[in-house]
Formats: sequence, C-alpha cells, structure tokens
Amino acid sequence: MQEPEPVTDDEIEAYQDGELDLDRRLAVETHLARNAEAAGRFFEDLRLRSSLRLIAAQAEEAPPAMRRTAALLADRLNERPMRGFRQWFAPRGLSGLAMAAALVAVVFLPARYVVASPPDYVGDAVEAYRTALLRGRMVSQIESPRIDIAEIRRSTNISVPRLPAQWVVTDAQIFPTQKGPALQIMVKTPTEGTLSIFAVRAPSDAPAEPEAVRHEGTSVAYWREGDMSYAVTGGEAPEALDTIAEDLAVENQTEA
Amino acid sequence: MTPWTATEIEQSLPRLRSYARALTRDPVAADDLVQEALLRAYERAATFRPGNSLRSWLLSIVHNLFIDQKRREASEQRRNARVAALDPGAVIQGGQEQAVWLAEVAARFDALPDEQRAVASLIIVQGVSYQEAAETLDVPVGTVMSRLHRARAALREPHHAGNARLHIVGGRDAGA
Repeated sequence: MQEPEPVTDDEIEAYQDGELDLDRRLAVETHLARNAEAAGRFFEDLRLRSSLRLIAAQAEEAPPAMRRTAALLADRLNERPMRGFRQWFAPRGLSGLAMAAALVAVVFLPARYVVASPPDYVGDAVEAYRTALLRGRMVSQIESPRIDIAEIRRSTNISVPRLPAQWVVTDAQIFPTQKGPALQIMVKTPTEGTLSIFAVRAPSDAPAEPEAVRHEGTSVAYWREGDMSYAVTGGEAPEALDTIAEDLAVENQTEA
Repeated sequence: MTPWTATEIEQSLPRLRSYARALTRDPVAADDLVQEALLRAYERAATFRPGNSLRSWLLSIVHNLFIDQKRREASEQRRNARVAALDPGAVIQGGQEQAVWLAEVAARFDALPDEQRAVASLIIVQGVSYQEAAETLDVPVGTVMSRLHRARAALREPHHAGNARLHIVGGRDAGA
C-alpha cells in the first residue's frame, strides 16, 4: 500500500474550512489523532472560529431602509428576464409608435414602484460622455461632426431628439450597451458648454418628465419616451441639465 | 417568473452586514456601506448574470465600495482608536471569563490588516468557500489561502503562535 502524503498546516486549515475531499480528510484526521500539538492548534482554531461567529452574530435585525432597498433590488433583478423580449417584435416592421404602444402594454402595465435611483442606462450615458471627452482630446481619434438622422434611424431605429438650431454637433457615435446600440451626440451650446446626448431604444424605468442627478462626478438628466430612453450629460449643475432635458423632451413630443 | 431573488437577497443581508462590519469595524458605517452597496447593485443590475452567485456578486460590491471609500477617507486612525470596543450585549451572557476572551478575540480580529480581515470574515466567520472568496476579492485562490493562514496565525493566542514573547518573559523570570 502506498504511504499517504504528509499533512501540511494548510491542509489542516482546509479541513476545517470544508475544502478537502474524503480521502484527505481521513489523512488529516489520522494526523491530528496522532499529533497532540497539531490537534491543540486545530482546536484552538475551532475555538477562535466559534468566538468570531458569536461576536458577528450580535447584529440586530436589518434596518427598514435597508430591507426596502433589498426588496427594490430583488424586483429589479426579477425584471431582467424581460430583456430580449423585444426580439419577438420585428422592429423594422412596426412603426415607432405602434411598437411603443405594444411595449407599454406588455412591459409597463404591471404597476411599477417609484424608482429612487437612476436606471442602468444612465451609467452607459456617463460612460459614453467620458469616452467622447477623451476622443475629443486625442489627435488619433477622429470625431464625426456630421450627423445623418435618417441613416441613424434606418440602421439603429433610434429617434434623434431635435436639437436647438444654435447647438453645434462636434461628434456623433454609436455606442454599444447591454440593451443594444445607443447613439451619443456631443454638442457645444452657446450657454452650457459641452453636453452629451445619449439615446437608446430600450424600455427603462426613466420617468416621462426628466429627472436630474449627480452621477459619478457628472450631471445627468434622464427621461423616457415610449421605448426610447434618453440622457443628457454634462459638467453643469443637475438643475441646468434638467432644464435643457425638459426643453429637448418637449421639443421631441411636438415633433412626434 | 418566481421572485426567487427576494428571499435570496433578504437572506444575504446578515452576511453582507457582517462582512461590512469586518471591513469597517464600525456598525453604523457598516450599515451605510451595505445600504450603498444595495443601491449600487440596483443601478448595475444589468451586470449580474443570472447563472452566477448572487451572494458573491453582492459581497464583491460591498468590498469594492469599501475599497473606494477607503481611498477617499482619512478617518482610519480614528477607527483604530476604538478598535476593541465590543458591544457588551453578547458579553454578559457567557460570564466574565468568556467576556474577556471574546473582547480579546474581537480586538485581535480588528487589529488584522484589511486584507486578512476580509478573508477571515468571509471564510472563518461566514463559511464561504475559498473559490467564492477568491471571486469576491478578485484574487487567486492561493492568495486567499495564504492570507487566511496569516490571519489565523495572528488570531491564535500568542503562546500558541510559537513566537518569542514567552521566551522573553521566561528569561526575565529566571533572571529575577
């Protein structure tokens, strides 16, 4: 019979942590049964473990605010199987309006809680804004200051918000997101400086009236129209962006 | 869809709070950390892949937020000052001797370096697997094991750690 491999300290610890298979468990147990010093240290470790668990178990019940947030998160994670739902529709075959109606009927009908934090595409919008700022500073990255709304609509089905005449588009890019391609336009405005407009065709929890937040060092105002979700991002105070977003949202509605 | 995550998240709360406490060493800061982590998880729900462990995902958000906060904060020393402040609630039950022992263990645990404390909390206190701890902390399993080994050595009673302290004390006695 083959001599079993010697037992190491790491293995004794792994035994305690339930990380060994039966074969090595037996080897460790045999070792501990024959070695008083190793056994003493092993029980010392067990005593420490129980003590630490006893200390950790003191926490009282989770505060109500935390439980509410946990419930919101659970809802959010349960929503996710809805993703990919849109593939059942043929986006090209349906007009934007009919599609929005269909999605409103199916996705938004269940009563929704009021969302306390921004929908996840807002993170993408901030990311796109930062990337565009970076591209703007780099010589080797070419900005596309021309924007063909019809082409964008044809290839991505994204409705571009109508921009005020005095705004100058400095860059327009398609940006990949979890929900599909998004359009990101960088503009220079006479009063607010550089702004990014982000549009993605995906239903979200964004409100119809724009809502502005400070998100990771930038301001974002976000809103939804049917199954289009929009965000305006910039370095301004959230209130300034909120006003801009409201103007854009209203402008868009009159267009539709 | 059955709301399987509702109970799963609810059940994860004690674990998340315990881990946050191990990291922050301050119950109030710990609950703030968990609350913020849940909000962050909400924002980033799209990054969670249903096949993966929800628990690891949440633990790693708590962990990363803590690291972010630590970079910003300079209040570490203030916390270290109250390192051994143990909630007296649990202490009274077990009698004086146990109370002293638990306070001592709590102090040793709090005195561990952050990395070792994180690993010790996950594996010794919460009983997660080496693999899951490695995913949570985003380090190799071997690193988890060596941190754990060092943490255990530091947690053991000094005379079991086989260090030089006993020797010095004995030497003094002999000389007296």
